[in-house]
Amino acid sequence: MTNKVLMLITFVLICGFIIIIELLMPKLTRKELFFGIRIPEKEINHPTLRQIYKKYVLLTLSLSIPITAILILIIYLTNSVALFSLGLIATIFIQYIFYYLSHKKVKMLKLSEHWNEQNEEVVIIDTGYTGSKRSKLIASQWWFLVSLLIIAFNIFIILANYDALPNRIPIHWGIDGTPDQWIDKTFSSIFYMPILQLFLVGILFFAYKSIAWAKQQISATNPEESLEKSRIFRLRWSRFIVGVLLILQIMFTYLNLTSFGLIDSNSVIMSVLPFVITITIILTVIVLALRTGQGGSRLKIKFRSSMEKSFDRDDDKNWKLGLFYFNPDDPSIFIEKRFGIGFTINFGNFTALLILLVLIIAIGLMALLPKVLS
Amino acid sequence: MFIKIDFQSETPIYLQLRNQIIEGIAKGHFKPNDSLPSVRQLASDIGINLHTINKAYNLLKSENYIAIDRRKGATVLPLMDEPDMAFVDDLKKTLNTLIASSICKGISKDDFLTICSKIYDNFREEM
Repeated sequence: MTNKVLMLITFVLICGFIIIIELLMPKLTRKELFFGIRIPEKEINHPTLRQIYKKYVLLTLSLSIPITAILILIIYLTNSVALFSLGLIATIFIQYIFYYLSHKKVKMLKLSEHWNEQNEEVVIIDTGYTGSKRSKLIASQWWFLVSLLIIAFNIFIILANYDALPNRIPIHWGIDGTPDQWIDKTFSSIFYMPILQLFLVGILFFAYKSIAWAKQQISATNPEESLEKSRIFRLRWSRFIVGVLLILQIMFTYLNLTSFGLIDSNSVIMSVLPFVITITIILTVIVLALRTGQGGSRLKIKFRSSMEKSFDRDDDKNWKLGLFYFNPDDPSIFIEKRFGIGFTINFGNFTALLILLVLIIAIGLMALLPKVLS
Repeated sequence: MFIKIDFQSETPIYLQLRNQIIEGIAKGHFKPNDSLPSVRQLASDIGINLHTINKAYNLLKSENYIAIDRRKGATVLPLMDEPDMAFVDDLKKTLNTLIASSICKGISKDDFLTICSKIYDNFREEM
């Protein structure tokens, strides 16, 4: 019973988080990109745009709450973990539909107001901010070495205590902090945790690198200002990734030592620790997103530009369904999301699709890991 | 240095790029032996085909502004001490039309020379 209640509370919390972030998202994205449509800088405060946002908020609130309630009821009645995940996917998809409706409205407005008919379409880049130089402007990659050292420490502990390890090793704990999944001790299965830790380093290193690799996006209205904002945006999120990785490595080390019986298992810590860490990470994400905004759009930095104002290139047509960047002519692999915080891939680029495939396979393999090792 | 590409301009993108890199060299934003951004990085940031950047770089190379090395990529060549005669001929041809247009549009010789010298000084003062 308590498990069921906890599952429902978790569901409500995650749904609430998704809905609140989506409600705020139009205020977090770059100001010249309203619901994924490029708007001339001087039209940002157009009354119709405000109306579209108001209607978006009303629609989202009035429909999301009953839908979430229905999902909760279904999960409560069926008590199925599969429906839990499906419910979350449904929530995300429904939020996307609300976004898409507003996206369409802004698109229509842009056409009727002739905002797409500018006599220049400019892309500005800074030659001092190209890929290899951006790598030096984010958190140092030596932090990943620290994570690798922590993993090496774990492996060393395992090998040094091999004979003393229990025959059944817990690899998963329930919400109440007691183990609910075990694997038998074999020479390969004891490396379950270190492999998981290595995988985590790989995924987060990749996310970290994509921050540096993602293409420049400099506003033609004020290049200096948007460049500085972009730099801070990338620096903060790279630090966030490095920080999250270190915290998770320490948590994994603790789990490791506990599951091997090397330190006494404490069910209170075991149930509270992951919860506290998850909440901390989510709160940090919210604070970072609110204070920084996409591409640094919420940073209060003012630069007077030395260049004359220009109009940004209209790149709406490269964004399919207002969501997927598809531009085969662009060799970029990573690009800032239009409606969201962080980065997405160029679906028109072969390498990018290959990377996506490898990521999906890797995540699938990780889910199968306990079976592979035992 | 900022590079500004206008996709609606009559001037092709590779020429816009070439012109601005030459201006960057003249202003001293790119110093002799500096590396230019790699073709891939520039193409990715601007969001255009690699060929366009290659075209601009190859033109710059054939005009002796940059050298292209297989390993080091594109590097800026030192400014010349003495002008080469072929360039002087080109310059005269280009100026011919410009001066003719200026005469038609009522720009006096003094005005023309003042404009020229201002632009020239503008490049040199930042060195």
